[in-house]
Amino acid sequence: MPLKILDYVRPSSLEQAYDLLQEDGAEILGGTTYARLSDRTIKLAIDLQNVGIGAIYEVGDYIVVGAMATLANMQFHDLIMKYADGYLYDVISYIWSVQLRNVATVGGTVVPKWGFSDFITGLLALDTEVEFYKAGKMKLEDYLKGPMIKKDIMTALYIKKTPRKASFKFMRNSEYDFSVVNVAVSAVKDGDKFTDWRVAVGARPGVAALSYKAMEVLNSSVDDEAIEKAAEEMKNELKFASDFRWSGEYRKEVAGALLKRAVKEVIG
Amino acid sequence: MKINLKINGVWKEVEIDPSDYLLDVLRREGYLSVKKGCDTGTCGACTVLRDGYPILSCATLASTCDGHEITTAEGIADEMEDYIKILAEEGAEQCGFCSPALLVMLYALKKEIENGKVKKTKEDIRRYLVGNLCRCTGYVGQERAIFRYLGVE
Ligand SMILES: Cc1cc2nc3c(=O)[nH]c(=O)nc-3n(C[C@H](O)[C@H](O)[C@H](O)COP(=O)(O)OP(=O)(O)OC[C@H]3O[C@@H](n4cnc5c(N)ncnc54)[C@H](O)[C@@H]3O)c2cc1C
Ligand code: FES
Ligand code: FES
Repeated sequence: MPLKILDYVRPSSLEQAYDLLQEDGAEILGGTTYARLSDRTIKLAIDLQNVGIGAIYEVGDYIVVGAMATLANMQFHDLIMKYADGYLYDVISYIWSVQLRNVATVGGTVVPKWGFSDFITGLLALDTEVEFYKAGKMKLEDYLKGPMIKKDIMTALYIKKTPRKASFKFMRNSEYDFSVVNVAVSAVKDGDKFTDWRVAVGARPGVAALSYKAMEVLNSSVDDEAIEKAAEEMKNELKFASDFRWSGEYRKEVAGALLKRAVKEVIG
Repeated sequence: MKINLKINGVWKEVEIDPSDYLLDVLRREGYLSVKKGCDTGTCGACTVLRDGYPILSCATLASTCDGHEITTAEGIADEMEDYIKILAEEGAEQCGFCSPALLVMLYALKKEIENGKVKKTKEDIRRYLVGNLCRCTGYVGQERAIFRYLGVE
């Protein structure tokens, strides 16, 4: 049974959209690229295309990406192409096809916290915040760790333009399949030193999480021994599990290897 | 519900169900170049342009296209005549099921190359077209035709 929609509405303000969302059976529509694969009935489908949350712009130290921007809008935006040597441009380019990225929205990709997500892992390695209409702004890592926020509307992502160098690595069973494990790493370049490391590992197959222990190791040193240690710490700290694609053990080993490669790419 | 779509330059009022996808609506309206391949967002056979950008019509609710401009292969066939000739000359087509969507993508790709968003290299072109699957050709003939059409050595 495909997704069934009983009624469709295109509100013209966030306030109106939020009120409509409180109705029983009401849901937000993103690009519906994933929602459509589910077998359920939406009583009232709320299309946000007219509420004004599709723009991408700068505010102070942040790049703001509206939740209704498509992945392609974001990928090709000058601010994104320039930030961290086009790191996010690259991350987004692995999400299947141009046609998919022209439909899939930033909100629809972040809100469900899918474990397989390349986008979430990529964002988590940066200083990213997520903003909801009522729940307000929170760090992406807090959003991922917390309960699902229901009956609220994600309005934007805030990506801090800290001068970071970043690297995204993944393994897939075939080039354009979903990642079976993915790793994103970044650090602030301060002269010839690297500080404030962030290490995110996703598709374990659980949703991406930071490895605080690996970050602590890398913040003190990035020599070969420290990089090895960071990988081991990450493998002990984060949970890896098996699914129909890969075993947890294999995922863990590959994640360690990807982490080392990503760190080495960042330090150059 | 009723929606208005500008299909290949002509505004049309169309009666739809809120659960209808653009793919089914377009086929119902006679735009049979738009194919249903996988119906899961993977094969690209349903590609059309919305406001000039290629999208998956199987994954796009028709209701969300109300007031938008849709272009199918029928609408660009004349402009793409040179490519269609090359496609035939290079023997790049077998059953032809994937060809209309590839035509639409190539049309979009040409614009992106002109805008400087996609580089005119074999690698970038392959990456742009990754979402257009073909079950027959093995892509070799298609690549030959596309590179010849775009003037890529
Ligand atoms: C063929 C295919 C290949 C794919 N390959 C990859 C891949 O390689 N890597 C990868 O990471 N992903 C991949 N994906 C997943 C893809 O990234 C998602 O399908 C897409 O990003 C979902 O975005 P959407 O806008 O279509 O979401 P939708 O399906 O519209 O929405 C998903 C959910 O989010 C909710 N939602 C949407 N917007 C908001 C909002 N603003 N506020 C609150 N709730 C909201 C909706 O109510 C819904 O529950 C693939 C998907 C397909 C179909
Ligand atoms: S029918 Fe739409 S992608 Fe296959
Ligand atoms: S020619 Fe048959 S699917 Fe491409």
